[in-house]
Amino acid sequence: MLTENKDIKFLTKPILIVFFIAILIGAVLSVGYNQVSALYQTTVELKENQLKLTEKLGTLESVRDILNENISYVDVALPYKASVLYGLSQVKNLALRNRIIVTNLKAGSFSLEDNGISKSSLSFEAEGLDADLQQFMLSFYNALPLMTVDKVKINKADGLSRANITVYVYSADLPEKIPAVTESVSGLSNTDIQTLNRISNYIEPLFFEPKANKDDDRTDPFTSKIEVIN
Amino acid sequence: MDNRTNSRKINLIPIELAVSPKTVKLTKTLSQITTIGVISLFLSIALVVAAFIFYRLEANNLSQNIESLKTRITALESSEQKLVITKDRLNKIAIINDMPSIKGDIVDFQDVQNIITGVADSSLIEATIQSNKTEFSINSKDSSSLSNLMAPLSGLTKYKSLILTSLGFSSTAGFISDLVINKN
Repeated sequence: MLTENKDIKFLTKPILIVFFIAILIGAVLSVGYNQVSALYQTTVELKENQLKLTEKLGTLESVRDILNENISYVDVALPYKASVLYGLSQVKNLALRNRIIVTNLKAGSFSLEDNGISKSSLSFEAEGLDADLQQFMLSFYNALPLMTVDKVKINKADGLSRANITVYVYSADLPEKIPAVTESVSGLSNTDIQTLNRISNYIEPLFFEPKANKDDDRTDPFTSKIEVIN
Repeated sequence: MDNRTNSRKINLIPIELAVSPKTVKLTKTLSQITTIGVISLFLSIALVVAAFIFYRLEANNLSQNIESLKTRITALESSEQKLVITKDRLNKIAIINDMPSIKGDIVDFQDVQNIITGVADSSLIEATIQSNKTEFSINSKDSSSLSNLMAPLSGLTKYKSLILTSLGFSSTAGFISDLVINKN
């Protein structure tokens, strides 16, 4: 019994050292694994973000030139304001181009469609030759802003055609938010580019940005000097 | 016998304090395990520190790249706004282009007008073109021109149906026929 106690005493220290080292190794591996694993996850996320941002940057750089050329066409194709002004101007413009006389031009109802699109009706009377009148009606489908012919009533007399025409001119609200810097954006598809190219060949309105009349030229009649004529 | 005597170790420790050879052997084994353990511990520490430094440097490098990319993307903010607006507009333009339109009806009615113009003593009085439905009235001076008109009109294949809704006659104007053509 005495001998066994001696052996145990003799073995206690090395056993404790082995346990201590084992515990140390376990602690180092456990803590190290957690730390390295967390850092690895961070680098994986950072790599994903970097990839997204690289793709986004590539997308933005690739569309920059296309957009600089075509953005004004898209703006006018579907304006967010003054669509009726554009429409009225374009009716007169197209009538002149197609040798049509337009009378009783007036703006009608405004209605909200689905998907944030709105339409305003314009009605007028048009007079001209058959072929010119047909070209005139079809020209609305190749003009900016986007317009569609809703209804046509044609009367023929004395070799001329007279038509009561109702067209719709479309507008849409602007998107409410742009994506965050880290959020990916999709570029322009081939269909998008084809649409942009098609729109850029449409008949442009006479003005791109409706502006209010400047009042600078008008003198203030109450404070300006009155010239006395002798 | 002599060899045995020679190999016998001299134990200076009193017998009551001496440990058994098994214990000594076990102690040596534990000592070896301790040595291996210490080496493993240092290796583990070195490995963990190396991995930590490697990933830390990589993370720092990636963070710098991301910041640089963010700066470049922010500089292209106007392009991004244009892209978002353009995509939004193009989607809406596609919706408008898919809406029902009378463009085809206007084009197709030209065929009807050509037929009427091609028949002597016949003329179009009025026409109303709406989506998928066109109503028109024709004046024919006599029955011959009326029949000459109806034959090519009924032969039009672009329309689903051609309906004669009324046929009138007056001695001064001749025949007045009202027709409706439906596309669907």
